[in-house]
Amino acid sequence: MAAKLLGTGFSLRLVRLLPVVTVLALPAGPAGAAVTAVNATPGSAEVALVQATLIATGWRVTTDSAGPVTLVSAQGRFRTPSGSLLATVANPLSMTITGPATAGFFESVLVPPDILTRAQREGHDRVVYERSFTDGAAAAGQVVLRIVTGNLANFGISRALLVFDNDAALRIVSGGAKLTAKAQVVFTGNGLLQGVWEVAGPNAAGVKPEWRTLSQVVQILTGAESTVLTSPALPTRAGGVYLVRLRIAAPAGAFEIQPLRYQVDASRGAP
Amino acid sequence: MHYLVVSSVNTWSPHNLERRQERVRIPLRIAPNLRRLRRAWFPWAANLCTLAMMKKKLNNVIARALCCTCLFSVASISHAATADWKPELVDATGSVRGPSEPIRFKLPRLPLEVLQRLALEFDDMDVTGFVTTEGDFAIFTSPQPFPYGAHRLRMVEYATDGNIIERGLWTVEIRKTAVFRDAQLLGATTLYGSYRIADDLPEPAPEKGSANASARMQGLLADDGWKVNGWMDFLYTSQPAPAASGTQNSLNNVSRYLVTAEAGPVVAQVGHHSIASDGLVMQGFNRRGVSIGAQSQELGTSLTAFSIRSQDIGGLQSGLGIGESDNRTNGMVLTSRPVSSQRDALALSATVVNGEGPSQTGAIGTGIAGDKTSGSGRAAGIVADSNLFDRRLRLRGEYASSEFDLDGRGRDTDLNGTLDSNLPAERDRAYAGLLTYTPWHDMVVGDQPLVWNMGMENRRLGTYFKSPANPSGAADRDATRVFTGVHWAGLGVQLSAGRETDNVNDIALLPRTESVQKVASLTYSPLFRAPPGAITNIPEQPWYGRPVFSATVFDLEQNVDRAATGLPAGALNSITNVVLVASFAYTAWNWSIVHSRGNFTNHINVVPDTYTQVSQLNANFRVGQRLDVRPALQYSAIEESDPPAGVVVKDSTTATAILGLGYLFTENVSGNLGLNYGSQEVTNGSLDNKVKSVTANLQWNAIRAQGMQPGVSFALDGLYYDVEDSVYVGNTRNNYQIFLRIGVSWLPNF
Repeated sequence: MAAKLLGTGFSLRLVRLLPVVTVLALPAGPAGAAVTAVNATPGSAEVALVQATLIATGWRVTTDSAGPVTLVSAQGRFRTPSGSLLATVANPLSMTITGPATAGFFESVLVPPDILTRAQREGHDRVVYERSFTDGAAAAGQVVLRIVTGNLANFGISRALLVFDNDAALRIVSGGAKLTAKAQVVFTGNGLLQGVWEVAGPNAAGVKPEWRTLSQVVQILTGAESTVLTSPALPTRAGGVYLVRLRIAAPAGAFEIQPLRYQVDASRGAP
Repeated sequence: MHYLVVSSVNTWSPHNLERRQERVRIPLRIAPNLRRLRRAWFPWAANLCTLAMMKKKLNNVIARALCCTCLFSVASISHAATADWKPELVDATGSVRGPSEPIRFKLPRLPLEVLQRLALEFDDMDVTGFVTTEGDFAIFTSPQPFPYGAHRLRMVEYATDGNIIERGLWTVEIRKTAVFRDAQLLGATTLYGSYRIADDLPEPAPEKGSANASARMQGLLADDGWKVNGWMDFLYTSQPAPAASGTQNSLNNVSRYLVTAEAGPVVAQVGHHSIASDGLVMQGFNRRGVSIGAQSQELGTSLTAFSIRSQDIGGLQSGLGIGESDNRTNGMVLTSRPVSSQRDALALSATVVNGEGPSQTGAIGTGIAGDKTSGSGRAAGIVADSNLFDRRLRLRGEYASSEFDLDGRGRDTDLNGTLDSNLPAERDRAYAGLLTYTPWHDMVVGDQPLVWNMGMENRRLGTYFKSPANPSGAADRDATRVFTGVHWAGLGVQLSAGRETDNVNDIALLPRTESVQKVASLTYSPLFRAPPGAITNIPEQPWYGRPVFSATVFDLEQNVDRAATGLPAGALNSITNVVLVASFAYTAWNWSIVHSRGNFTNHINVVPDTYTQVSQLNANFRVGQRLDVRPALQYSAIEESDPPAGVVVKDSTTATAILGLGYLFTENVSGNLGLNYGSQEVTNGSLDNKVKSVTANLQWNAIRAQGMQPGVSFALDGLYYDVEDSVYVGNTRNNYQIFLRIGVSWLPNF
């Protein structure tokens, strides 16, 4: 089915990359050098047993190779502490740097609950997420994921969906109509959600709309595992097609929530 | 002779009947009609009477009363009559009787005094005032169209001895066509073509021209015993845009639709719809699919079977939405109100679902790259909801069980195309109970109603409880909450306290937390008492308008109840949040101010503590008759403290200022101007940007769409965008765009 999803363009964008975070120059190493260290930050995280948990991880990869070198990690792997493979994340990380240096990668991954349940059934209270980086010779690093309840898991958004105030994903309204959107957000852990309601339009054409701020969202999320955030009134005075979205700035690594689309027919509204 | 006293009023309503002092006496023999009129009152009747009186310009009291209560208008004196005479209903002039066609009766020649004693009822409502005579015919002309369908007409004579003689009883059918009793098609379509006539965008710029089309369609077909109605919203954009919610990437059309067919007790639906009310098994599950159900009014029972898409979809490409077996949820819902004498007393419902789909792990846009795993499972639940003791006591209980396979058909752990791991399904159960009690419904203290309610609820959701039709549903919770609320004289107080624990299934390797939550909310809105006297004597508002004040305090303490590796027992998190709101409403404008403060303290030092402040001001007012002004300000500050080792605290501030102006130059020419300013700054230098934008719009509705006549509008849209980013300097830019847009609207109505 994933092939179906990918083929139809479903955005499986939970693994997001900000490839160039840091590149630190190191003294030149001996000939035949390689990746010498891979460190994950943070080195551990808490994940919920029965709920998908988003973890944000930074990888610091050090190579002593001299000159231009490409650091590659083809995939990430979830394993039990005893080494059994639980799942594979087919998302490559790659960066070309001038070595010797330390490069930084950022990755956010949704940890599926079924692999945690399997590990827990096998008697483990943790799993590891590991990546191997190579520029010819490889080294690996890992994040320890402790299995906990939803309340204790890392604060993260695991699911989000935008709809209009009538629960529809599309609205066609008259000029001046009252219209709001709401975000149904499912999360793990507790923490501060920061986001921005943004709108583009009435000529929201093109893949890079000019977003403008409607309001900030600053809200502590706790306990209930899901919440609904409501937007301020959306602009409906000028006719045309608009896009509205909730851009989440924190917790880190949150995925982009697909925007809503609506059209205003200003000629049908009250003058 | 006995009389019934009725009023003389301009708007004929039961309320007015009892208010006015000016009165007229009507013979009691026709009073039953008036009483029936008052009992069977509904807006259609009100319009009939009001419009008729206006039309006839009846200026004197007696005429007004008579209009609605008794006599045929007599154009000529009639003669011979017999005791058993019968009127005849004249056939419709065309093949069907339309909603605006007068209904004619052929009468024998009758004495004047007999004519004066006749009355006509339409669906048990007296419409005698709308009957005129023309030769041998009595003609009933309704001031507004009759509703489609079958209607009952009854002509009676009030005999001098007080008896009521039924002279005729007919059923007439108002139809649209000979084939369909009712047929309607309403549409609202708009096509926008827009062209960017000027810009300074960097290359590659988006295409200059674009087109957008939208359509809202509603239709209805009905005949005896069946009805089909439907709606569809459709939006097409010619240029690619970010995938809209509920759609696939790169789709440039979004659509939603629903068609409902009813035939007797059977109802079938196709399109986006919700199947059942929210509960543990099904919640917020509005999806595209099909359902069919049957209901019995006598038994108070309905049964619905459905098959709907697990993950919502937009666009026209997916048809009914249920073509993929691995993205489909099937089920049945049975509801019943078994107490026939009091349907509210007990409502029972049972739901069974069986589904598979990616929605189990997230909405569109979520998932794991390359992951083929899709959860599947089934769940069943039963709900009993009872209102007792004149609705003072409500008891609601729900029990559900689930069997959910988190990895469905299995997981390909190494992505080699072979499923090499397959977990068994996890069984679990959940229940929820709610009790609310309202001691009284009609308590008045100091001339003001006093409302008090209280209640308690308990929810226990097993660790592995999961329903395929409740993808956002919580699990692993055992929570108890008590609450109460009081409302009196504009003052409202809500209090609640609850305790919640997790690791409900007592899994040995997992820790357990306990959360204690308290919420207090106070609202106050001063009462404005109207002075005694005429209802139009509305008091002037004070300078501060009609205010509403509210304050809400939220407090949560979380503790680790059972320790785990690296997690000692003891205090975990403390969260406090205070929200203050004041809003002021005037006749033509309003404004509000909101301030909130929140504290998040992490006692085990895993994340920094945070202190947040958010203030915002919103207003909406009109200057004169043409200018609307809508300012909004928002400021937030977040301070971090007590960080874990190796973490540097940071403070951040955001500010947003928006000014919206709307000006109506003429009835068809309007302008809008929007000024937006936003800034974000973080003290560790990770974020520092300012975004300014100006949107301007001038719109001319050259021809307004009306009926079958298309409307045409022209608009000039401008956008100025200025970003100053001190951290990600590549984001810094400054550009403008100006668009010319033409819109064509059409509102077909068949």
